[in-house]
Amino acid sequence: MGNEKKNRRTALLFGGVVVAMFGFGFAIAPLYSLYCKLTGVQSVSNTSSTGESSVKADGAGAVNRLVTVKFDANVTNGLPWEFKPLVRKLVVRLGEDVEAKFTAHNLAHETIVGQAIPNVVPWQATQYFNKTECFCFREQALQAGESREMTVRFLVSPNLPEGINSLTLSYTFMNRDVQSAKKFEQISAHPEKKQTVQPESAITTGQSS
Amino acid sequence: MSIATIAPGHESEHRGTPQGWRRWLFSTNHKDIGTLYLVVSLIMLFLGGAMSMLIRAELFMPGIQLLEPDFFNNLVTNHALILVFGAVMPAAAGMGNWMIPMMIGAPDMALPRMNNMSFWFLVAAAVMLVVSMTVPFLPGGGTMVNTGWTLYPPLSVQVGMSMDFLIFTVHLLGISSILASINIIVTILNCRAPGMTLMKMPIFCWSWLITAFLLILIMPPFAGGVTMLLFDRHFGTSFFNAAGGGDPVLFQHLFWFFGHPEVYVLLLPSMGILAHIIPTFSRKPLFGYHSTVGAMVAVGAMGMLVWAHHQYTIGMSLAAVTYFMIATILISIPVGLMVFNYIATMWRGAMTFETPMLFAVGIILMFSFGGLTGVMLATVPGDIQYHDSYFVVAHFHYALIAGALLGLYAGTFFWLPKWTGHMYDEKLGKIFFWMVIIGHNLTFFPQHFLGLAGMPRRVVDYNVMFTEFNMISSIGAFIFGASHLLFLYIIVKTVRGGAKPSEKVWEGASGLEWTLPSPPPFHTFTTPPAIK
Repeated sequence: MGNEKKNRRTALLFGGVVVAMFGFGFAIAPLYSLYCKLTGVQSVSNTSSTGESSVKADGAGAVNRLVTVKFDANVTNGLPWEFKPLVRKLVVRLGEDVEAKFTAHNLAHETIVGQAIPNVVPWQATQYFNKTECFCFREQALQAGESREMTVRFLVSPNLPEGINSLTLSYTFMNRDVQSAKKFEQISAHPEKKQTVQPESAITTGQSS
Repeated sequence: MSIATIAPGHESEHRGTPQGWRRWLFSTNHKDIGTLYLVVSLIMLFLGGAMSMLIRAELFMPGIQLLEPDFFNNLVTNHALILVFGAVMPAAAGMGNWMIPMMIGAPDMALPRMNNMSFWFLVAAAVMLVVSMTVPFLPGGGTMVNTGWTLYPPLSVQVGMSMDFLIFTVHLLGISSILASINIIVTILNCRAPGMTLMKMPIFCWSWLITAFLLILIMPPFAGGVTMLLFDRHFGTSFFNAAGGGDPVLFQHLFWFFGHPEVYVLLLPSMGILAHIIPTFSRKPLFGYHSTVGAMVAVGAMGMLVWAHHQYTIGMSLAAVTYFMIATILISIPVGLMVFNYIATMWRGAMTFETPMLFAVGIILMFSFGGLTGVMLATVPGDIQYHDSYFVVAHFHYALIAGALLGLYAGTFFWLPKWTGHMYDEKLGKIFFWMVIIGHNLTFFPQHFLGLAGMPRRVVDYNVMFTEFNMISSIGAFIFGASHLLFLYIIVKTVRGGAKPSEKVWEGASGLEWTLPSPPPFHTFTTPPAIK
């Protein structure tokens, strides 16, 4: 039956389309960044920008416009750390090189590697907020019970649009290790057992629940 | 192309109806598989509908009376998944299975065994979905899926093993609908009776052809997205985990790249059904056949390119949101064209209002209203205010109930006499219609006001200022729910007996399917019909 052969061929053709579209799902992120690079569409979540060349880090490009920068610090469920800014807010001059400090303290009885994810609000200001040095550029490992001061140096570009007078720099620290994050998440899901932040008890809690 | 070349020996082997459970389990007959699809979707309709009854009972008053917040969110999630994937899509697939071969003069679907496989994959998926709902109640079962049907990470990475079952459900559903779609495409492209060119093909077949194309384009990336979710949950990858350099927004893009065209997957078959009902009861041919086909193709194509309008609040660049806004609003042009073609078909027709026609008119009114709130939601500044409020809930229930579900009800009443060989009870059908219309509008119209006043969606409790509209909405929902008991009664009664309709059933009906006896014999068009 010639018809059956033809049907099989058509079905295989569209099966090929299905496989290609499955691949497309995985290619969507690289394709999107390629598209943005080629067309110059700005990506708001671009947090790794190192500053514009016209602005010098020593404050030579500073202009007499002041903005308030507020600092916000969070940790996710799976990370048993205390994390807070040393100063809540600063008034900074545009183009001026500023340093701000945060402090992180590991409450658990084991070494944990965390990664801080920065975020600027309002998002329209993100591209004008240039971090020259940041603890979020690399992973941070804290020993059991260790406390550490963490530094971010940044400057707010003089090109910041009029009307934005206040920015918030927010960090969220996350547990870099998925298994460890799961373990501590289960502890925070059972607040009655929260006092014992020991990994041994954490495992038994997780299994008995 | 010629279907007359089917070997006679092969044909005689299969003559007569196989009996007992084998008839259904091993079925390769498009009519039987269509019936199976319809039965499963009816069961799922009642399951998903029962969940919405629980949701509305909880929301009848402020405060938490019946349901734990987690369980409430679980119900919201599964209500959506069950009705979208378990009720509407299989019902459309069942009608497609029944009607497409009869409409194009083919003896059966092109790939009958694959047809059987895609149906049983659906059943497996339904079982998996029920497992996903029940494991949290077993010891060690973890938390419930409480993310809403969008399954956004990071929450979906954190919930217990019921999420894994849900991910496998999506995989099975994906395989099922991809196989069904390929089958429908092959049937329509290869098995039309000689003389039935594509531009002579009934609109229902066109609507399913476009739907099937959409499905094979959108299901695979979604399956990929949930696979990434599975890897993030268990294998330490960081597709969506910000700590490892991933981005939760990527999932939103993958989800809505599937999720928005999915809306048209639900809508188009019902719009195709309307294109048969309205000419039949207006006793006029469809106004603007070519432009209706063109509008459906345009809706499908444009629908692939507007997904990010569900994500205006994630902080896209101005250029991106502007594009998505304009593209979304442009879709209202082909959709409007379709609706106006239907209205023009009714214009000066000799209209009668049997139950299918009543549904058709109701759909045009209510779906257009859902389209109007859709244009409101498409505008960026508006959407930022309405985002995640009950206004959105009201909008998509107008679009999906009127646009998809009621179209399937209309199709059920329209074709039930053909399928069963018994006429349904017209009086009960009309009572059902009015209960549905009153119930639906009473449920969802006040939700627009709730949303504009600021009530967020997916909440178990709410401010007392929202009480009155919520009470009205819940009463409407109970009417809407109760009407479905009548629906079930009508269907059972019609299957068991009733007046015998003629071949044509409806005075104004035209098309190959109406040249067959009611009910049609097990095998039809084994020799292709002549197309005038």
